[in-house]
Amino acid sequence: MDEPIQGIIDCIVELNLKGVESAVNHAISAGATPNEIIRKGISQAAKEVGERYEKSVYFLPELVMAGEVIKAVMRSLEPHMAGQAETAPKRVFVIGTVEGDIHDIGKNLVIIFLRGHGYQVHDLGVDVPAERYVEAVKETKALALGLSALLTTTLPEMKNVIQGLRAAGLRDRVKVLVGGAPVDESFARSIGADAYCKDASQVTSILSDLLGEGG
Amino acid sequence: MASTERRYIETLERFTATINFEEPDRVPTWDTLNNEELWRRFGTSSDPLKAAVETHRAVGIDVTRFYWWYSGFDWFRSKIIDFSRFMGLRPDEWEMKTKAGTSWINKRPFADVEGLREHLPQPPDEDAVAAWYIPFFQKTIRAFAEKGLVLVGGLEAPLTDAYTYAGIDLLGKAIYLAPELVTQLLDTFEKWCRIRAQLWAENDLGPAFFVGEDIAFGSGLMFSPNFLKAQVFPRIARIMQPLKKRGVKVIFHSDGALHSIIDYLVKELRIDGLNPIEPAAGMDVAKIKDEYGERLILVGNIDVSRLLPSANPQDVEQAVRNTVAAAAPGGGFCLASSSEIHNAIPVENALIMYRAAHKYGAYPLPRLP
Repeated sequence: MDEPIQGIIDCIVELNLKGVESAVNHAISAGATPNEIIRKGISQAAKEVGERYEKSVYFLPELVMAGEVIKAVMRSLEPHMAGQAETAPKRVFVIGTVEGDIHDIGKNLVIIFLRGHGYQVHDLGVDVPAERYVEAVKETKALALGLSALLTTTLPEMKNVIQGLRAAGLRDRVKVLVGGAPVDESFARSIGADAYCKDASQVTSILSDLLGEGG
Repeated sequence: MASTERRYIETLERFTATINFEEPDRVPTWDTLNNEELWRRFGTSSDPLKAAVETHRAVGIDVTRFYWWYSGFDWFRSKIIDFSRFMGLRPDEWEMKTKAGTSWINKRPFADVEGLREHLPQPPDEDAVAAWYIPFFQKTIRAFAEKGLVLVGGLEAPLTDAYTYAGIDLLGKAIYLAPELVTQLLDTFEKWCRIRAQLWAENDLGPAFFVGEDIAFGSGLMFSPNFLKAQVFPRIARIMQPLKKRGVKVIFHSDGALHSIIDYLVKELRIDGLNPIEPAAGMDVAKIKDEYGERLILVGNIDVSRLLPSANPQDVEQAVRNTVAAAAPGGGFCLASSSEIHNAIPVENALIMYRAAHKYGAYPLPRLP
């Protein structure tokens, strides 16, 4: 990894919020562009944070904090982004906890990983009715949609959302990922989802496969 | 002796023998009911407490843990009422949402660490809590006892209260950005828990006490072992102190996968019991019985994520049979669901579970075919 960007990666992985501004300034002065920082730096850092989480080195507070550091990096990059052409279209991900369910820890962790990998996330919150997902996918032109549930009772809602997408003619335009404690691979298949996400940290690699972006 | 009084003594003896690792007449059934259909069918009284007693009694439960009945059956809203009653929370600043019997905080009066600093809960006054809680405890215990049921004391421990209050994301941030605030928050909730545990112990209100601290997901711990050992477990030890002193058994509750911490919980924190031993999180009751069965009371283990909502009655019965065979020898086991009987569980499956526990849990235990 380029040395100027490495400072930003270190800040995210080591949860060093205070060091963000100088690391970003250093990287920019050394010639790194904001797009490079996002594409290479933040993505790499999010991957390392995910690995630490999977190895039980990091836990929920560390993921939340890594998300904060990533937000700070994005804020510090903003002044440097004016006038810079987008090198890639924004990858929009819509996510929410299905209607009747209010659990959002897993969903929020998924969001941290998605933002870390440069996705623009539209978080619909909890207890989201099927039609709201459909509207959001339509409005945002999302590439992917994440449905989360913790309660067995609310699992049928996931199917309702997918049916809603079909009825609106949107199903082929959006990849649907499902996750949460009562969900598994066979359930995901049975309702016609594109993928089951067992753990928050898997979401970006699953998406890369689904969207044909390679590793 | 009236038959209800006799029934209560029998249930109490059954439970007391079990938690002292003796084999009573049969395995006690323990559960938390949060199923609208069950309540509709069996809880005919308009008084929520009476309806709760009727329902627990009708389905065949011996023991249940303490609830907050002063806001219907809505424990979350009741918790907020408690925070406002004893810790200065202003309900008009908080937005709650309720749907299908479940409530959650929709909006807090703060969204960041500085906002939390300005809205810290006030430490509760011991006398005020005692004045309100002792009659409430007594009334509730009596209502259950009159129908032959044993009520176990209970509370949600400081970390769960802290993340309920602040929101888990904000608490996670505060651990790094304002650790002194997290300490303050935990101090307040520790005091809140300690007062109630002490009241239970000193007033000799029952043989067991439930301490709920959800520290794990299905895949593992939510917080680092270092954080838990530094900030959480010492507080739980202090909460447990008056209970242990009076011989009240402390049943520790956390959902999720506790494999990495169970040894610490048993040997260092010295919990007396564990609930709910969630099979969906890989918690293997047979292994736990094998390793800690002589000193750890086990409560739970019948799966609420897949088995109870969707299995056929024969499978539910077989699961109860297997669980009893694995966990009940020598006492120290109460059969219960792996969290609560929620709305997705068909009433018939819940009833079969308790019936099967009564049948296959009779001591001496039958051999499995």
